[in-house]
Formats: sequence, C-alpha cells, structure tokens
Amino acid sequence: MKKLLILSIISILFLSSFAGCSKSSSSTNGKDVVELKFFHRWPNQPKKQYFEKAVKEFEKAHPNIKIKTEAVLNDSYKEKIRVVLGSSTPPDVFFSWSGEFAYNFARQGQSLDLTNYVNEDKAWSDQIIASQFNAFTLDSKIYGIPWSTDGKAFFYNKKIFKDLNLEVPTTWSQLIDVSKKIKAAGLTPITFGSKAPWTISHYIGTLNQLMVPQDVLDKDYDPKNPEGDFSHPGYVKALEKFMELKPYFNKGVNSVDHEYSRELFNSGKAAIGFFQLAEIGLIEPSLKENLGVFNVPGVEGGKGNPNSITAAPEGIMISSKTKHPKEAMEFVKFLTSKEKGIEQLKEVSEYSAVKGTTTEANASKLQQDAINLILNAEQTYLWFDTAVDIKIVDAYLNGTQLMLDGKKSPEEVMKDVRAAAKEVKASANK
Amino acid sequence: MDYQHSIPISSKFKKQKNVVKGLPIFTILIVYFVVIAYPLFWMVINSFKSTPEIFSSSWALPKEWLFSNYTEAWNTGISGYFVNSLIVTATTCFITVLISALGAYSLSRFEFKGKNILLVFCMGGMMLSPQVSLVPLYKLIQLLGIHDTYFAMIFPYVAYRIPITILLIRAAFLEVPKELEESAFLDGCNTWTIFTKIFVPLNKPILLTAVVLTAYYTWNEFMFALIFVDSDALKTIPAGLMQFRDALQTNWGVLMAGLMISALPIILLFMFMQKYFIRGLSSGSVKG
Amino acid sequence: MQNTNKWLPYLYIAPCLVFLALFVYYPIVENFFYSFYDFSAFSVEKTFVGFENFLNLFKDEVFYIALKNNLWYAVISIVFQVFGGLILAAILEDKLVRLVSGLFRTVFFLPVVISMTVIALLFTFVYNPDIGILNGLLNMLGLENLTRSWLGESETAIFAVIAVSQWQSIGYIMMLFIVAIQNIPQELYEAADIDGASKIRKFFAITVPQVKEMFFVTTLITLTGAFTVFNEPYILTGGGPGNSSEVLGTLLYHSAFGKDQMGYASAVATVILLITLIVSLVQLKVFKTGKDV
Repeated sequence: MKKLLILSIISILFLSSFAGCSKSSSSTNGKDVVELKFFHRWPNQPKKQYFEKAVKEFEKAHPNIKIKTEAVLNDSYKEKIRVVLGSSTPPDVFFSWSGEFAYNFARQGQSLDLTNYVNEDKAWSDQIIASQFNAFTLDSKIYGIPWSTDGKAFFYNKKIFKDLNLEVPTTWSQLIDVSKKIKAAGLTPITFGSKAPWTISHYIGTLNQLMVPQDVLDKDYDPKNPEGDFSHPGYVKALEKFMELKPYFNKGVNSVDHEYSRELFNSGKAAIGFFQLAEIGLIEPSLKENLGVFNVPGVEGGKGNPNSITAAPEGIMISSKTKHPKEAMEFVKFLTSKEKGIEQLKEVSEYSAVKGTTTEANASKLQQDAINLILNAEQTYLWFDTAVDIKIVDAYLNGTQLMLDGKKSPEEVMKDVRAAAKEVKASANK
Repeated sequence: MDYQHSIPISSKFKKQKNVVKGLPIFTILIVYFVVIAYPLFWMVINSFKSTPEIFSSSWALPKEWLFSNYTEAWNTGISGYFVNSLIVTATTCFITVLISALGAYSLSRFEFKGKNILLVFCMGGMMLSPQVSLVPLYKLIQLLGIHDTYFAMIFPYVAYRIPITILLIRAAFLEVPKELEESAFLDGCNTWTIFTKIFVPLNKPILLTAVVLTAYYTWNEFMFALIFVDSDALKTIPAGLMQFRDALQTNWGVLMAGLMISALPIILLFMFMQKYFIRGLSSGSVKG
Repeated sequence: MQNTNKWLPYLYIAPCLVFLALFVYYPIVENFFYSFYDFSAFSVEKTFVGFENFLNLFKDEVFYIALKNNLWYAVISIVFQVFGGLILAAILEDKLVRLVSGLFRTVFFLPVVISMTVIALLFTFVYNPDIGILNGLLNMLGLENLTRSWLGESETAIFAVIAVSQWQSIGYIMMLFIVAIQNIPQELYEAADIDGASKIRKFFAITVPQVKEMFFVTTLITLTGAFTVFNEPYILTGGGPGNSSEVLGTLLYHSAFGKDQMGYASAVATVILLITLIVSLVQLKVFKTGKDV
C-alpha cells in the first residue's frame, strides 16, 4: 500500500514538474501593454511567415500592443473557431470566410459591428474594393473587413486549343462544341473533381447567376424571405446545363478531389478546368505561357446577368467580447492597408481586396487580367456555398453528386432544394 | 480445408505432410502479405516524389528521388514538435497503463459490490464520439486551468484510452491461474505485492501491447491537440504536419515523408516489443 | 480474493474512475442535456426544444442511411477483423510458420500505425477509376465489366470505405489475439497432439475457448468502433456521393461543425451511445466475461 502511495506521489510530482514549465506568461513586461489574440488559418508557409512578419512590424509601430498569434488549418479552423468563440476567452481578431460563415457569427452576437470604424476612416476604407464589403454586411451592418479576394473562371490550355485549332468559347454551346472536339482528339475536355462537393457549388452558383434573374435570386437566397421558394424554371435549366458538361468531364468525378483534377490540367491531360483565380499561382509554373483564362460563357436564353462573376473575399473579424476594440481595429487596418496588400500578392499569392494592389510590379500579366475580371464585372456573387443557408447548400450538393452518379434528375434535385428552402425559411420566421 | 480429415499415420510421412500442409497456409499468408505490403511500399516510394509526380505517375518509381522531402518535413514540421510528442506520449502511456492495470486488477481478481456496473462504467469511453465532446471538454479544460498546457492533451487521452486498456489487461489478468495467487497469499503476500510480483511480470506482453496501442493513438491524435492547445511551442507532430495540408495546395510528397518519419518511432517501439512475443519452437511458455 | 480490506478493490480502480468521470462522463452528461436544446457551438443562448432533435432525427432519412452503413460496418468488421484476425493469429502462431512469423507480424501490424491521412490518399489511388490498381487488376483478370469508380458510386462507396478500415485494422486485432494465444499453456496442445487431433480440431477445441476473454474484448472494440467510426468515411468520401456513405459519426460532425446544429449532433451522439451501450451489455451477457465456463 505504501508503495502505491509513493508511486502516485512520484508520478504527481513528475507531472507537475513540467506543467510548471509549459506555462510561460509574458504579460507582465511593461505597464499598459495591451495583449491581443489573433487567430488565423494558415500555419503553413509562406503565410505563417508573412503574418509573423506583419505582427512584428505592427508591434514595432505600436509598442503598447502585443499580439499573440495562433493558427490552425481549414477543417480544424472551422472546428476551433466555433469552439473558442463560444468560450469565455475568444480571440480578439480572427479570420473568417465570407457570407453565411461570417453571418452566423454576427447573428449570434459573437462579432463586433465595425460599421462606425469603416465610416470614420474613409481614407483607409475607401481603398478597399467596395463590392467586397457586401460579403460581410448583414442588415446593413459591416462585421468584417475584406482581406483577400478571389474569383472563379475557366482556365484553358492554350497549346491544346492551338493544336486542335479551337477558339475560346464565348457562349455555352461553343463550350460544348469545343469540348466535343477535344474529346474526339482523345484528351479530357474538362477536368473536375466533386468528391469534396464545394466544387459543385461553384458551378451551380455561377450557372444560377446566368439562368435566373437577379431579383429572383435575391429573394430565394435570402434566408428570411418566405416568398423565395426556388421555383423559377431557370434553376432546373441551370442544373441541366451543368449536366451537359458531364460527358466531357474526366471519369468518376465523384471519387476524385479538386486537387487531382487540377493535376490533370497541370500535366496537360485535360484542356479546360474551372478554377479559382488564386490558383493561377499554382498552375502558371507548370503551364507557363500556355495558361489562359476566360470568364464563364453566357448561356443562350439565360435570364441572368452574363457580365457577372463569382468573386468573394476572405476577411478579418473582431470578437464582440474583446476588451480592446480600438487596438484590434488598428491591427485590422494595418493588415488591410494598401502597403500590406501589395506585399501580400507577391509573398503569399493572395489577391488583396485593396484597389490598385495588383500591378505589373508584383503580378504576372495573367494575374492582372484575372483581377480585372473581378473589377470589371457588373455584378459579383458570393461563393454559392456561403451565399445561401447551409441546409439549402446541402440539398444542392448531395443532389448534384447523385445526379452525376445517374441517381437523380435535375427536377428531383430541385424538389429537395425547395423542401430544404421551405424548412429554412419557416424556421427563420418562427 | 482439405487437410481437415488427415490422420497422422506414421512419423515417416510427417515431414512430407508438413510441407503439403503448409502450402495453403503459406499461400494465404503470402497473398495477404502482398495486399498489405504493396501499398506500404507505395507510400515509401511516393514520399520521395513531388506532388505533380504523385498524381501523374503514382504507381511508378520516382524519376528523381527527392530526399529533400524528408529534410523539409523534418525541418518545418517535425523537429520542433518531436519533444512535445515524446513527452505527451510517454506520460499518457505511463499514466494510462499504470492506472488501467490497477483498475483491471480490481475488476478481475476481487469480488465486490457493483463490480459489473463499474465494468460497464469503464467501457463508457469507447461509446462516446470525441467530436461531440469537444465543447464540454473545452469548457472543462478551461475550468481546470490546464488549457494550453500538455495536460490539456494528456488527460483527455488518458481518459479515452482507459476503456480499451483496462479491458485488454483485464482479459489477460483473468487468465492467470487462481492457484498462483492463493499460494502467494499463503507465502504472506498482500494484494499489492501480488499485483507487482505476480500479475505485472506474468503479463508483460499484454502490458506492452497496451503501451504500444496507447502510444500509437497518442502519437497520431490531432483533433484534441489542435483545439485544446494554442501555443506553437506545445504542438505535437501530427498537429505540426497538418500545416502541409491546405485546401487548395497540399504538398503531398513532404506530408508523406513527414508521416513516414513520424511513424518510425512507433514502428520501432512495436519491433522492440516483439521481443516479448518471440518464443522458441520448443519452449513451452513465455510466462515467467 | 478473501479476507482483504473491502475498500481495496475500490481503491485500485479509483484513479481510472476519476479520469473517466471528469473527461468522459462529464461530456456524456452535458451532451445528454444538450440534445434537448437548439444551439450552435458559439451560441450565446440555448433554446430548449424538448425532444424535437430526436423527433427530427428519427424523421431524417440520412439517419437511416447512416445507421444501415454502421450496421454494415459492424458486420463486415466482425467477420474480417475478429474472425480474420483470429485465424491469422492462429496461423502465425502455428509451429509451421513460427520461424518467419516475426516478419509477417510486423508487416501485418504496420498499417495500424500509419496515419489515416496517408492511407486515404493511397486508397484514392487504389480506387481511382482511370489509373487505380483495383480496376487495373480487374482488367488484367478479364473482368472489365466489374471496373467502376469505387468511391464515386452510391452503391459501392460505403463498401470501399469499409474495406479500407479492414485493411488497416485486421493487424490490430490479430496482434491482440497473438498475445492471447501465447498465454495458452502449451501442455493443452501437447495433450491434443498425443490424441492425434487435427489442426482445425485443436483450433476449435483449444484456441477458441482459451482466448474467450480476448474474444470479448476484440468484439467489443470492433463493434463500438463500427458505431463511432468517423475518420475513414470523412476523409475518403465525406459521406458522399449524396449521403450514400454517411455514417452516424459523419452525420454528427456535419451537424455540429457544418450546419451549426450542436443540439442535433448531441442527439446523434446520444443515439450512438445508446446503441453501443446496448451492444456492450448484450456482449457482457453473451460472453459471461469474468466467469469460468
């Protein structure tokens, strides 16, 4: 018995000995030092280093502020940000995707209303592309500051197009035509991977924009508007247009992910792909001058706006529980300044949401064209999976996967979507 | 199987028969060996490739052996986290196996009220999905003041490993002949000395198995590690390796090299433990 | 054990109970209460909704798909891991094989320690419709009509996922059985040899009854594992295509961290808990564990 006691005492001592050294507190130096917790989603290089550097620069300019950075990646970020925001010690400044992801935090009162800060300092906020604020605006209040922006367009392999004597398609039927010819030449016309179904949502969002009038979309996408019931025939047509591409996708799209599909394009086995503009930085090194970009071709008879693009920012939010909103805002302004925006593209290949940051000095010709696609579009749309309630997204994505698998028709998918929309809107108006 | 009806006729045929008998067994083993080993081989060779090459020619040998994947994985993902993983894993194993062995001893060799209820109680941890316990555990860990320390990982790990460990050890303890215990009692041993002098030494294989299983779980776990710990200085290897997995861009070659390196200590631990399995062809028992 | 302090057994098990009470049962209890509320992880307030989460769950067709998939998981895992693992263990412990069994043992156990991240990547290549070796093998055998996009079709996705789990875990169960088999007194086998018993006969007459307790543990591990499984389907298919390969674990995760329905996720967790609890209690009865046969 004694031995047991001794053993347990020893083990407790052993344990507590290194509990002591793991708690290194650093808050005691200086008197009025404000410590901010900053939580972002890039523990990987080069962004990790970029933020470390930015934090150091900021601390140097603001000796009274100390910033404690933490970063975890993607899925883990989605888990952890939810858990910590619900706790009593949330980070003061944190990253957020746009649309519903951010709105959810705002609805629960977890993120600070930044409208006044944006209006107060026009010299800073006017530099940011105005449309990009939409993605963080809920009930005319701004809850997040756009940090980066990105859009979606078709990428194509110029060499394949030249070899096969093909023109860049400007209408949907031309796209189908071109695909037919590429397929006849023994190549994969369009590369696609829908294992992670967010790739589907990008097609659907874009096609909805082309097929359904703006006012209908607004009504249907609004989670509170009970009139928006997704009954416009354009929705079914949009899915049918999407299915027209199926014969030209690579085999078994449901079993491959986006990365695999990009590698097919990278290696020249596929001629066209639907990618994010930020991916130019990942493809240009292998395809070089053979990489071309074109906006989604308009669909004949579509009721939507052909001069539109899916383009949305990622941004920074501030916790409503922060004790130092001013200092936190100071840091956010620093990260979204023009100066930082220019560095950002060069160092971490993210387009800044600040105007005039993508120039010859820091970007390739193609990257400048890409950002112009966003700037010149009459209308920008959020990523579909963040534009509508997650339940509607789910119905869409699951349905489309089954449609690709030959298990569902476009009408059947829309039936599920309508049912989901009804549920969402009923519970929002309870 | 056809050798079911064979009856030993004479020792003269025995050797021949052994070879024939062994044939189906060895065929099964070799087929299964290929099924397991070939993919493992794939992992090793692909850890020397660049990401585009993994995708474009995944079943071929690397055109160029990128040993740099290993140095990169070591330098950015592992070296700094190695000590953390070691501390967390060693402590978790030590606590888990120690207290589970004690618990198993109690559940297997004593008769007392509520024993069966306690056995069911101990199985509880196997039934709870860790994903759903994140929120309550986070609150608890903050309440205990161990958030962002090694204990934020160690304590939940221990708790989640106790059920399996206690069941394993209990299963082995139950097989220890009662007579051994009774004679030790007559020799003046008490329950504690019976535990340390008889049960622990007799059951080294299972205790070491428990160590290996706890170690591999702890070594690979990253959900708790990422959520309950904030500081980079405390992160473990899998949490560190996650930085190679981005949504749009994963450096698979380096990630795989990193995972190879990180699997190595557990493989070595297993091989070391194997020593306790091996028994000679003629020797009767490993016990003692 | 007789004439000992009656508090002793409680004392020995106390440390375990403390850990379990704090880190397992506190979440279980919290989770149980959460399942009656509607909230997200970051909600300020929780809305009491009574049994609504459970009622919705029982109306949710995905729940039944998931339940069915978990049942498949359980059945297939019992066959391959528990029975397969036992047979493999018996073969490796056979005198004929013992000389080389060290190598086999090590290799068979290796998949257990490999992280699911790599295994998932590996199997997306095995199952790949264009360049996968599985389709390649089928083509080689002249079975072209069997080739398919294994992870991408609703009919095969869940089985492709289950197969990966078997590939990884048989070695785990095998090893547990090896340890158990090595504890069997050799005299039993020697006596059977004298009686001229065949290998099969010895396996059923000696090995199986002698590893009874380990049998209980391995079935328990396998079954509870089958109902709480998350990683494999989450990484390999994400529950797709559609919801065809959804299991309770992924349903729970999507509800908690995708749809911000923590209450609903808690209800799923409570159901998982109940299922595994019942399964465990049944096993306790069936195996009569701890009692000599």
